[in-house]
Amino acid sequence: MTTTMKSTTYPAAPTHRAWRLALLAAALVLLQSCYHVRFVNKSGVPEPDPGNMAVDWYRGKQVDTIDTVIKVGLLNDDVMFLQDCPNGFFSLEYRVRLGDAMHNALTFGRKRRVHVKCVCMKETN
Amino acid sequence: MANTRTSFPGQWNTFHANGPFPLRMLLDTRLEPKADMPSPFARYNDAALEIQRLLQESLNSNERFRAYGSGWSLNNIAHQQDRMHFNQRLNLKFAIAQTQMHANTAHTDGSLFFFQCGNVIKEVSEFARANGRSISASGASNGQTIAGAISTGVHGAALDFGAVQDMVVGLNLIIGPRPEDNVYLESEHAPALSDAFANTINARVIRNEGLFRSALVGLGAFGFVHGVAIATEERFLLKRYIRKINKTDALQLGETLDFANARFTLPEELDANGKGDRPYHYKLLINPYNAAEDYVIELMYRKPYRNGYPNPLPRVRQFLYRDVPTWIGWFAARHDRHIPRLLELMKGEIFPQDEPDVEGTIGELFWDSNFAGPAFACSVAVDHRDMGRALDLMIATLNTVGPIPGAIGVRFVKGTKATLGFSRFAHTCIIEVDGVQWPTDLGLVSLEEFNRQLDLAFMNAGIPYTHHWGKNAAWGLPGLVDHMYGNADDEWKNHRSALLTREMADLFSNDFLDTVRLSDYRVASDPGLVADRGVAGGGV
Repeated sequence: MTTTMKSTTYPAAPTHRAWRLALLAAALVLLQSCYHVRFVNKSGVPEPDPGNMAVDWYRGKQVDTIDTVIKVGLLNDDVMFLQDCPNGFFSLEYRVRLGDAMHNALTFGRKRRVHVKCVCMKETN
Repeated sequence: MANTRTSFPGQWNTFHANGPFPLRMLLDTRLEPKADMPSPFARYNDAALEIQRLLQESLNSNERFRAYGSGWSLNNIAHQQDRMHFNQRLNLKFAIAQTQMHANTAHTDGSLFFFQCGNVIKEVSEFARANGRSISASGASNGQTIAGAISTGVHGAALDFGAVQDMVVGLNLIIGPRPEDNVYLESEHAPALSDAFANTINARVIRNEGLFRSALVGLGAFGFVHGVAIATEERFLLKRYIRKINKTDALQLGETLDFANARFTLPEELDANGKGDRPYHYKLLINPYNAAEDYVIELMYRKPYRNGYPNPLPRVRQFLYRDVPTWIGWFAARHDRHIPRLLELMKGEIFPQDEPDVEGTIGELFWDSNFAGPAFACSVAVDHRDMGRALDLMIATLNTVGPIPGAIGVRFVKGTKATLGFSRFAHTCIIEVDGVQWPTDLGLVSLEEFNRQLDLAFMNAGIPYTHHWGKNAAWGLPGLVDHMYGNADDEWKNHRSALLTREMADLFSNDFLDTVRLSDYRVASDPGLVADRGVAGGGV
């Protein structure tokens, strides 16, 4: 009898925990899942950064990142970030994560997370 | 005054992540702001003084100094562990007026430009385009600085033109900290700029064919390349085709370069007699691990420029076959850079897609490429008539010593005028393996051992060859450069030793040059090697 109970109940507990862990992991992954849209200047050259060894599209480029939460209200629906790019923009990337969309929905649109990456144009001389 | 920011990063890496390499000091010079110094020549000369100040500091510290641009070379040729200078912000551009041209020049008014070292190829190309002109050659992409590209012999596949350095008609070198160490160098037989122009940049003139050819692909060892004079041509368009071709027909084209009488023709590109036209550019992509798979052929034909042609960039962005690194980067990313899976898949068909025909300028078709993960590249140049043997040897080495995760690109380019240009055969065929770096625990041969075996195979086969200076090779093999270049490396060393003082020659050396023995200094070199042999030429 005891043996039978062990064989039917004990394996169930870890399975339950595993499911919860799997769900948690899936939620974390989904919340991080995202897409990005990038505008790039066709004939421009990016401002270089010899110290940027990122292993992505931004390698070697001088990148400014805006990563913040903005509050939007009836009287405040126009948010402006001032960027010092005297020669114009080389690229602008807007990134949206599922978690950000949920955050926006849960705050009834009053709070919006903003992830923007900006690369200025190299100075033309 | 131009100012230099100094940092102490501890290490440095190439764009393609072939390091890291140790680095003590990184120097990053910025031009004096335009608003504070409106004259571009004043800013150029101001930057020259700053470079000379930095050279003096290096001398005082008994340290070596190496300038670099975009760091696109895939070995340590751009590296130097004491002081490295980042050039990219030195990007002044000048359209040469007729009054600044040499009286005996063969170049036409409006065809010459002068670029400061840190302009990347895209800036050079765009500046020429804005002036109604076109550069004549480009690498597969456009991110190398002009000084870096010529210093290592970057080439494209311009069948009847040559490599990037073959556009260059004059060099402004800073060879030390003294006023007389600012030199403007050009050919005595093909003068380009006037003495008055050289005076404007405070440079003394040397017109000397041999010295100019040696310094052209100078590997960073002939001093600081501060400015480069370039000849351009009337703007033109290129029509690009991607097709499949069988090996026999590809070899016939490559070994003969006779497009008029080849079996392979493009119906769209025939002359009035039904013979194939000669393309501007000819390139192949080859899967070395599946002998049955057809090759991909990329052909580009020159067309007169016209306004209003469709914007090619939306398609160019999607090109997979623009070069092997782009293709292999895409292929590897699709399979999570899982090397065993990549190698298994390469036993099958890996070039499945066609690409639409497209037309654009040289700057548009050889557009931006991006970092696609740590990469390697092994490049062998041979006489085009040896293409078949060399290609068989490369494929055999990949299959017997390898496999390694890479595919083959083959390009053809006219021989260069530079003494140590690696595209040195009258018509050079460049066979290159490009791929993704692999971990050491997969049981695959190391890149170093693969390169060693590749060199031994070519030496044993008796095929004359060279290696691209900016790519991976068994550079430490004793006598490798002598084997590849015969007496040309001696000529190069003699010119260098005659131009530079011993201490400056050492300052401009690095580990790579030590390894290949090109940093050797020849005492008591003939001063005639650096004599000005030209006719002084004022403005016309």
